[in-house]
Amino acid sequence: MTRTPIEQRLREQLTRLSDSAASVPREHVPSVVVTHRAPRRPRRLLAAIAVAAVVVTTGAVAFVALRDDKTPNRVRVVGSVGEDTSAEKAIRTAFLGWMNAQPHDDISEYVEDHASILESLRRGMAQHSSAGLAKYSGRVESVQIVDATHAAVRYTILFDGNPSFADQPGEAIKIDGVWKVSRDTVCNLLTNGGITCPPRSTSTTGAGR
Amino acid sequence: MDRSETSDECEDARFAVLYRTQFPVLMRVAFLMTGSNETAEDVVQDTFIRCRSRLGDLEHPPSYLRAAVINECRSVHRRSRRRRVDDQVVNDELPADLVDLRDALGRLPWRQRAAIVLRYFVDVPDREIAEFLACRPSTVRSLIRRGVANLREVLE
Repeated sequence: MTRTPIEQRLREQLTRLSDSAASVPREHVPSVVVTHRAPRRPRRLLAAIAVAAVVVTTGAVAFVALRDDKTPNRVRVVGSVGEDTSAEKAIRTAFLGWMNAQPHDDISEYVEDHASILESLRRGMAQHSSAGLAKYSGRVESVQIVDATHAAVRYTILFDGNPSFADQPGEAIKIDGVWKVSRDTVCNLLTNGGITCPPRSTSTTGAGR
Repeated sequence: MDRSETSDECEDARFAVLYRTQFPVLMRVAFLMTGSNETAEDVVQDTFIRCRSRLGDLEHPPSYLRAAVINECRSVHRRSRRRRVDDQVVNDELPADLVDLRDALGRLPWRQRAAIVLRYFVDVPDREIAEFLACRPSTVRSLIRRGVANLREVLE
């Protein structure tokens, strides 16, 4: 797609503006999933509760199962950062293998259910010249182990060494003991090129098999 | 552990991954749409909570969540039009040029803002933006052209 300088500038400025979004620096993803939201309380009180919670939970075990908690506004802790370095290494290897594959469709080793999305991937590749394709590579920004078979990964696709799709969210899943890039991760990236993956076949749904 | 418990845990794990991977990007989209971190966080959290039961049945949950977040931003936008402008949370840490951009985005008509964010931040093709805004791709291109023209002053 041709981009005018003003469009390029707008794209960069929106990214900068979104970077300053929040209270949510990139790696500061809340480690809890609020499944039922508590009624709104005054924010000062919430801040005081948060501080107290941090004090109480400091040093506690990171994985806490509150499955049997019957309180209506329950909060479930689902994970913490970088506890398993060997898993993290395997995940990084899978993501780097996928992003740096040459040719780019040689991903069978790294991507979950790769055969079902190969055609979509090749349609994406067809949008580029082979010289252009050779300039794409990638790097892993962070890996966050969620549980024994899932991890959240952030990665950047580079073109000619410069970020093209920066800090993208992705997912790794462990299948038959091997960490792979999830099918959804590849398909999400392909949507940037207007390409939609075929639906999952029922036999390939799920992870940790 | 019975089969339904295993299935629930699998769903929980998938939701957790979806939450972790999508929260930051949805937060950014919501921030661009609302101009406020606090509102953006409320929008994204509420969207996850509201959509949770449906996500397992969807072919592409991230797209669904993105659309739901932008729709929720529209609802917030409608409600906030009744409020005073100085109710908005001001982020003093933003550099001046980004404050100008945020404010200029906030002044755009809602459809122009959505089209600009979807095209230039999320990289959504015009055809999909058109589906989302329930209009023709040519209308999307027109919205984007006018939106860019309205932002030109703060971009130059």
